[in-house]
Amino acid sequence: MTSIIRVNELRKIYDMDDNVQVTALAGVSLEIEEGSFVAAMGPSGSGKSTLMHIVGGLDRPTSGSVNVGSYDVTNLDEQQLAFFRRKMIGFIFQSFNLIATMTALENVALPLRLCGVSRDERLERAYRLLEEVGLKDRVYHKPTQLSGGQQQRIAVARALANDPPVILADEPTGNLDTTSGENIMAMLNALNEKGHTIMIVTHDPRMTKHVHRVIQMLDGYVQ
Amino acid sequence: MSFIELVKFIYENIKRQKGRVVLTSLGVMIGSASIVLLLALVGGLQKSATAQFTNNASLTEIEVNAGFGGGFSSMGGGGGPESMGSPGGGSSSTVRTSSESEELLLTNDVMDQISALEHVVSVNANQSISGNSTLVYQKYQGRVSLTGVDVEDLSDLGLTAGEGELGLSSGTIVLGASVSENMYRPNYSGSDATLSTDLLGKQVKLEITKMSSGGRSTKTVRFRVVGVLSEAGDQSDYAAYISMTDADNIVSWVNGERVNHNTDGYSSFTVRVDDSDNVLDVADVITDMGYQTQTAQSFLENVNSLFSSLQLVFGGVGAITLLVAALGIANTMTMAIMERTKEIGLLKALGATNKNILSLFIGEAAGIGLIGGVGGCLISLALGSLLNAVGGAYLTEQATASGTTMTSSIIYMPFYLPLFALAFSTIMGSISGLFPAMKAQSLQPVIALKYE
Repeated sequence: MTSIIRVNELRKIYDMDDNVQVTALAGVSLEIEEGSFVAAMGPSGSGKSTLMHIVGGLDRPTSGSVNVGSYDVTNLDEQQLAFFRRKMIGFIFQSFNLIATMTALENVALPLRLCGVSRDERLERAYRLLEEVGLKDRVYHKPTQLSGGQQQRIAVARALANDPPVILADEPTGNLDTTSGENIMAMLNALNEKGHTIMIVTHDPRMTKHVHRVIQMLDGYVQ
Repeated sequence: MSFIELVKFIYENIKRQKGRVVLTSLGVMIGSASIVLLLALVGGLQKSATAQFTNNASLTEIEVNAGFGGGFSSMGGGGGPESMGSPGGGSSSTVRTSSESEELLLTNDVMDQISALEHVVSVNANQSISGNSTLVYQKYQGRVSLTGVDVEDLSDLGLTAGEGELGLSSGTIVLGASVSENMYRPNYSGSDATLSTDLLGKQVKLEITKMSSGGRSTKTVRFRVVGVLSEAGDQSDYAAYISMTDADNIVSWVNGERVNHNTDGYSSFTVRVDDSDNVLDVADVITDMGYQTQTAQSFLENVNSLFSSLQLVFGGVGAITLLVAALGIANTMTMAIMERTKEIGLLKALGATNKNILSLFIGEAAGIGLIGGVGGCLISLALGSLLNAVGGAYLTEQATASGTTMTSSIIYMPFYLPLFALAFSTIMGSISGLFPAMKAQSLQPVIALKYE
């Protein structure tokens, strides 16, 4: 199996006020194989979210390198990073981050809209994705009219809009009850079986049963 | 994202924050409406001020007077009350003088020279009559400025008939609009002390008085009034026109010798030019020949430049209002970006480029400006028509009451004025949105996503 994500000597140091520096990543190296399902675990402040943000091109490291597929993420400019995120990464957030004034369908179609996909095509694809996550009778609902579990399923559908090889999920079950959380994890498992490489950040030990590998982090290091 | 897709996206974003957009664009509406209305008001004033010049043919006229010595610099309105000014010309025109020191007379030769100039259509001579001219009808009398003209029809001089006709022959006279109402009975204070009879068709007497070494003598000439001019608003209202033959007889009597236009010249020439664009050029040529010229054109230029600066001032006042509105847009956009920081982070995570974000927010600001501009245009069009309807009716009533025929509108709004305001508010909106939008595009996605 080839590695789709290669992280080498990654450091991230935040400059806080009063010349205090906080080390979020103290030199992390790891590889994640294509088609695998990994969970980064650890207590708050262990650097697991920072690692995911840098891998997803949402944040820049202080030093070190990250490669995702053929992309040398750490050396991309802003424009290239935007295209990288479009093509390679689907994000799922703890707080769903749906746009409240848009319907489920419009939320799922949003990444396609940014890519310039025509209205008919993107709405058709968004509908199919919502169908896949079991929300085809909720397509015209606004997020506030739906439960947390349903909202996160919309977010999963949105992450799949561009059919990215890598899905990054930051505490995807953190705001959900157990049943909904299990549903989401099952959904991610199904996606993983379809070939998507999935990396989740969690501190819920019960999630580990769904994943192939656990990356345990503490104080900016992989243990 | 294609441009159309971008516009749709912006439209949707504006739609979901209606309340705020309406309030902000209200400021733009007031600003752009005030610019349009103030400029239109100045435009209306300018129109009224220049209407008398554009209504008649005087724009193509040059009045030429004899050239005087170098010390003579300028005079207003064609000289003192005794000298007759330009028939039909501007009441206060700019006077150009040459620096020649000898007097240059307006002889028949000069008339031929001027006639030969390029663009000159016609040259007519005027002879004002020195000495007191008093118009007498029954017991009423009044002073007039008497001018002899060498045209058979006064319309050739750009004058228009109020009643009767303008054709002049020996023994006939055409009076200015205000002549008869200025006639009175001397040493009498009854209710009929001023003349109320229409003089058209009546026989009148002209009494010419001259002072000489032999004392005061008076000559009386009889005329028939064949026409009364329409009101022009200048001194031609107080003038009387007679044929050149009659004028020559009177002048000969006043001077005590036969008048000879080849040696004594005429008082003035009225030069008519083919096109108003050529008036100033021809006037320059005649000035270079050593004669004084007056044109309504140069007066008009002065008036127009005055109104241009007035427009600048008024436009500036309106622009300040719009500037305040621009600050409102900038404020609204800054607030919107703070509120939607998380959304910006999300858009970036979903693959929006910095350029996408920049265009979205500048577009929203431009949209607010556009909405305000459209509203401002509608307001100013509505208010403008209202002002014209109400104020214009009032003005026309006033004008009718005072005997003038000026029909004026208060507001003059050329079609490009609202369009200009529309474009201006839109551009101003985009500029106001520029800095907030730049702030939005530079947000770090990871920080923006964490923003609560």
